Amino acid sequence: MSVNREISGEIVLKVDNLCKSFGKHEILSNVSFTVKKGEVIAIIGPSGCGKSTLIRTLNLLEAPTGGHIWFHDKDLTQASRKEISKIIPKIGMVFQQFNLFNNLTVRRNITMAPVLHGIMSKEEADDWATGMLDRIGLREQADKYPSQLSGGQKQRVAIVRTMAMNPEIILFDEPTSALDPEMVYEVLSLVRELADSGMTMMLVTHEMKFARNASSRVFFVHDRNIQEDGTPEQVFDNPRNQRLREFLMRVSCK
Amino acid sequence: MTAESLAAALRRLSAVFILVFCSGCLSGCGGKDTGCDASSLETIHTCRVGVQVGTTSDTGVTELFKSKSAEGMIERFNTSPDAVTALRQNKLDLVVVDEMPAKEFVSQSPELEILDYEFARERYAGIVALQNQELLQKINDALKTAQERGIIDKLKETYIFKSGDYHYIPEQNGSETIVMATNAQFPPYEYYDGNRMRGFEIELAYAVADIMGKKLKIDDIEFDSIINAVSSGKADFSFSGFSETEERKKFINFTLPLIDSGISIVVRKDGEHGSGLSFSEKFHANFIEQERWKYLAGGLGITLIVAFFSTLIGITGGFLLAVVRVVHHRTGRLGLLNFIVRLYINIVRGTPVMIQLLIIYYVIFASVDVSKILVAVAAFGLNSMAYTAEIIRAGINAVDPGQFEAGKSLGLSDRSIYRYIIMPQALKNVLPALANEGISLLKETSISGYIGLIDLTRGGVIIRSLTYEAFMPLMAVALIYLCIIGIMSYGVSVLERRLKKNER
Repeated sequence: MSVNREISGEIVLKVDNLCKSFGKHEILSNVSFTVKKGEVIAIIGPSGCGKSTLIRTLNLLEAPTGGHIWFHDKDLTQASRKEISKIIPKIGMVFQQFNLFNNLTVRRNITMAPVLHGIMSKEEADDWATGMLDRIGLREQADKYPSQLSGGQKQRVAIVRTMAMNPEIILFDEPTSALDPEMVYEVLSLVRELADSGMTMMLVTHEMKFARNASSRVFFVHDRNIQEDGTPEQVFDNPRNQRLREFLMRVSCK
Repeated sequence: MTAESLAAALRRLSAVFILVFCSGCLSGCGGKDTGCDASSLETIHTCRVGVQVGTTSDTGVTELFKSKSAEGMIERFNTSPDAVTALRQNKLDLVVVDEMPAKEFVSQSPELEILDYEFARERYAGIVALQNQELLQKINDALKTAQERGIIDKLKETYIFKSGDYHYIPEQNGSETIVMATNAQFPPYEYYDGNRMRGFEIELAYAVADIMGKKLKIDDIEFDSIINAVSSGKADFSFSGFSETEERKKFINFTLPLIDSGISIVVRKDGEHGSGLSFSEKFHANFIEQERWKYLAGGLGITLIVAFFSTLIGITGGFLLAVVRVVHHRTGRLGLLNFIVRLYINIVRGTPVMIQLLIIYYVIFASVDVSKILVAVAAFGLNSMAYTAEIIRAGINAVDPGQFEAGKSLGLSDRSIYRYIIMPQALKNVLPALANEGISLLKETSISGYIGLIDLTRGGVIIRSLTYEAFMPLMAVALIYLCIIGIMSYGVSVLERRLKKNER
């Protein structure tokens, strides 16, 4: 059922023995994996298992307590501040709570970072934003403030904001968990569209159907590590791990 | 939307008018029969007596009443006009005050009279710092010269016996400045006439300065601060109706006596209550006569200048302190600076602003001649800074951390995130609290009078000291404060509403 994707051999992200603890509490222990260009990786697992922490560590929102994160040939855990500031914009992130800038209009939310980084001029950015908002049907909202939008609209703007930086990979941290049910669809279709366009993505989600249909690869995270790593068919139809089986049972019973 | 806040302002105003009306009813009424017997010094301890704090009347009355175990009957006032006002309102039975001011008070208030026996006799002299023997000698020489030239006698005729109209015309062509501290609420020795200080001791001081070849600068400050000012070097000398006492001699030197004076006892005539002036006559006496409204206008100017610049210092400084606190909290850097800032905030918040003002003027700037406006701006600004810092810090911390994370994930620098995202939201959050801080700062400046700055409050006090009337000047001052603060609140509510359109 999953889409045939063109996945090149180029490695975008390589994670090596990543560890993360908060004080004495260990969340991730020796996690290792690679992400190739064009892959769409769904990350599933029970609540509180460290899925969010995993992807928040990848763009250094949480500082890793051990291991390495390679972005192409640069080790983020060893890079200088200056190098990091060049790499982070290449790793986009979409948050559960949208985190649009409350004091800026929709348009400024999208254009601010690329203009500050010199990726686009102000005019180019405005035109680009207008075009994108038009595509997602939010052109009318361009000059409104985030408080005037619905949750679904906010999240779609947040996705466009991330895309404006022209990232090589986008991390989604439960992008639909804070939405009312009727808004989940509009956000997921945009995510799906993005996936189909060949964007490399990692997606923490509780939408099992979506994970199965849209992803090229699935991680099951449990007990501080990735317990199962395979295609959607392998993970959902033929789970080997006992905990994964239990987890899938519980999810489908809901 | 403006109608709403206008209505609120009107409600506030009407509340004040009710207050004004009620206090108008209360003043003049009240009072009680205490069985006071003021027929001789032996029995006056049965009366409620008012004195000016720190004067020889205070010392004398305290001693006498103590010996009769009647200390509870003494009420001490900052100025003698305040005591007289209380006497007129039947809050006191008598006021013990120097002879000449007593005559002045009685001539202004027909319901008062002076008892025909005196409380004491004494002599006034100038004061000079203990260590400044050279200046003492020079002033004494100058006083002798003034006596020889007949200046002192002619001034006495003008001011004390009211039989002459001689006035000393200051030459003031010296280049070096000499500073005299006085408390210009003591007619006929020193008092305000229009915006100028006049009186026996004022003109004598000019004569003495001219004879010494100095330029005279007069500082009008609280009476009980004068000895401090002279001994700390804030002022070089003072002519301010100081009587020689053994106690005072421990702290300062006295010049040759300037004039003899008695201490009189002022009482209400039997059956007289309040002054018979109508509202419009009172209004005329308090504001129109001798252009007394100018004390309020000038004082308002000073109040606004001090409040404006200290708010400016408070907000900019508070902002910087808040940034230090927040950076330390988020990154752990700037440890020492953060410690100093916290210490500073605790000290400022743990001490009254009046004490801070006095410390800055009398301790920190003790030997520096610095503009009083500057001192007040510094004191109130530094004070407000500590409060503003905590307000802004709370505002920054209240911004959703997700905002910061979103900025981070877009690769923005911390500086850009604070500048474009966090600070605008934080400032919007704290605007009402900042406005309140501005409003309380404006009101706090009303203690500027303690360092001799004639602000709005002090302007009202001066009018009060000239007319011995509490109601009008106090209400006028209160109304002016209320109007300014009303305008400020209105401005803030408009600003708040304009910012509200991007509310979450």
